[in-house]
Amino acid sequence: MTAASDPDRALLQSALQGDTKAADALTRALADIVWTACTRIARGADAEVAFRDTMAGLRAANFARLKGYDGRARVRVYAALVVRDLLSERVMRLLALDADRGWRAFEAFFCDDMRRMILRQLPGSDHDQDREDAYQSVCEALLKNDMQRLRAYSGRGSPSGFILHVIENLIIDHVRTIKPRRRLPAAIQRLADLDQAVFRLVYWQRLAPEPSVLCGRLPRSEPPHAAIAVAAAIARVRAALPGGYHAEARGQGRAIDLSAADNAVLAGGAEDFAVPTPEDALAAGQADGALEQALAALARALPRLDGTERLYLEFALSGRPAREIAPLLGLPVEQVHKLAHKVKRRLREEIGGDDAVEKWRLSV
Amino acid sequence: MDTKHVAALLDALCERPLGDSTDTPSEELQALCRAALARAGDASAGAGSDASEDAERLTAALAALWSNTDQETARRTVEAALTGSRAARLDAEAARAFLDAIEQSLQRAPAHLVDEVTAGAGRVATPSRPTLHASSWSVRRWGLAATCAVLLVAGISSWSIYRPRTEPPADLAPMQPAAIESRSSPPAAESRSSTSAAPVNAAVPVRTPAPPPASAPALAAAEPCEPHRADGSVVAAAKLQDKTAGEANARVAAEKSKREASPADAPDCGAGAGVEALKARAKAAAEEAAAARAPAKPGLAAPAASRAAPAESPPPPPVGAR
Repeated sequence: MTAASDPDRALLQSALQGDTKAADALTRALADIVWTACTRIARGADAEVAFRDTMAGLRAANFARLKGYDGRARVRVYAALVVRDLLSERVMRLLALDADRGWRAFEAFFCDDMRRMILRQLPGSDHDQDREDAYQSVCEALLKNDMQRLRAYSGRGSPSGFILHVIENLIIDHVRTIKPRRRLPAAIQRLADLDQAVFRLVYWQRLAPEPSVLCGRLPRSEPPHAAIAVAAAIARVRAALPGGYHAEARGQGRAIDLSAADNAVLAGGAEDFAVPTPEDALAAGQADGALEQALAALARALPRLDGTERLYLEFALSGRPAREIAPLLGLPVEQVHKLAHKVKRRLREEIGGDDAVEKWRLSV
Repeated sequence: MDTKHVAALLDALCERPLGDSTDTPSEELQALCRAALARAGDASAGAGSDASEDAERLTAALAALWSNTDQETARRTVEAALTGSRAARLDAEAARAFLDAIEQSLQRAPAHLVDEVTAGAGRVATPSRPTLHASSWSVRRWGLAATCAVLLVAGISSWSIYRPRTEPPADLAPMQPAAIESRSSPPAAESRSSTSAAPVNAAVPVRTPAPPPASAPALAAAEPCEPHRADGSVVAAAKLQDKTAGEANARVAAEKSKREASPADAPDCGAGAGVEALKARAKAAAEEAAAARAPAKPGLAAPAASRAAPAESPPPPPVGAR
């Protein structure tokens, strides 16, 4: 269906001009969308209250909230976006009026977004516990000082955009606090991916170093890791680690929380508190240097990219997969793949990497 | 510093969205992304939390982009708004997820809520309406009709209960004088003999005319919850007795008749509980009426017209067509 043939379009135009029959018909047409949105954030009587509030906001002053409709989109899609704005504004109002009720509404509204953002920063099955910790940490930070961070919203711009920005900053802060402790030892960085994964499970998640336990927790692979290969990886990890590195699991396949893990690491004299070897220090220094160079290259390249390329790069930094970027940019997924290669070429040009990589290939 | 290492890192960044989302990126790439986001966040902090000044324009452009209409113009607008604004990007991403979630689980709005919203707005638009009551006119209309129906049924049932008492089997003894008197057109002699045979404390013989068959349900329907009036003949008898016999006798007769009539007339009526029960019945009837009005479950995002004729309406397009 095109926007021009959208039957709701005429209804909206009439409703905007004050036609009460059209307003009622439009209300009925949009009721399912509003109700579905309300049931996502509330149940039972609360959902009904949210429905009444949202509908009142939508219908106020002859659907004034839909006046920005420019005729290019389908009315229901546009209305759904406005309904989302209304619901987020309602969350902010509730937060100001009643902290408990407001927080419940807030969490219901933003829970999925928060978890999705955390998953991007902490991907992989070996971060299950970290993700849960991050969620709790972000909620605590938001609730701190009588929700000072949330109350800082000035009313300018989209409230949901403001809140999501705050949440992402908190997630990044949290991840930064745990990631430095999780740098792989230099000896492990030289090993294969399977060995590194085994190391993370055994030494970071405190799983028992048994193939039967680890096989189910390892990242998926084709073909799946065989028990004998996992046993060999365990042996390689043990052989690679320096003496005295013994922060292994005491329990049987049981993940423990982060604070307890910290204690275990401290007791075991694990990597966080071990004195780094010269090799470790060198590897860390090189990594920091590469990171700075890459950041500088990005800063130089970004302003020179066109809008779509720049947006792609910004989405890539956030860890969004192509299938999510495609609808956001209004492009087919194949086009996003082409865009990725185009941006890669532009970045290489920026750092002169093409020449460097070419020379490296020739030397090999 | 090894340029190829930096190039490889940036390559990995560009290819990150193309990989399997379950893959864990390298620690180095994750660190790069976090640092870049943090710096971008610091840079945009001074410019405000949301760089998109024209939120309405962005919403319209996003809607056009996600409606698969006017893609090029909309994409340019979206790119201009989202580039450099993390808040706008995050908001757009969340909005897209919101649309997808609604599309995947569209639910039918309760009819009473929709009616309430539309009727409520109608009252607001016409200030001549007396009150801004919580319930809508249509709901009240249905409620009134349902209440009348329930009262009518209650009246008929009370009449059906009352009627056998007025015409008991002939072999019942002793026969109640009031009942005897209520028979239609009894012979005068028979009436006198019956009156004399009645025990003194049973009841005072009163000349209570039997209520006409048609009027009894009407009376019951009018005031079903008042035991005093539930049996119309009792009231009439008491009034008549005040005129013809002693006042005390009349009260005795009335009270006796009341005791007899009350439990049969309305077992759950005659007190506050009776009112509540009637309300419950009325509510149930209203719900039944509403259910009968409601059409069959329509398809996703059914247009307004489909509510009237759901069976004929084609399945509507989903929200947020990709």
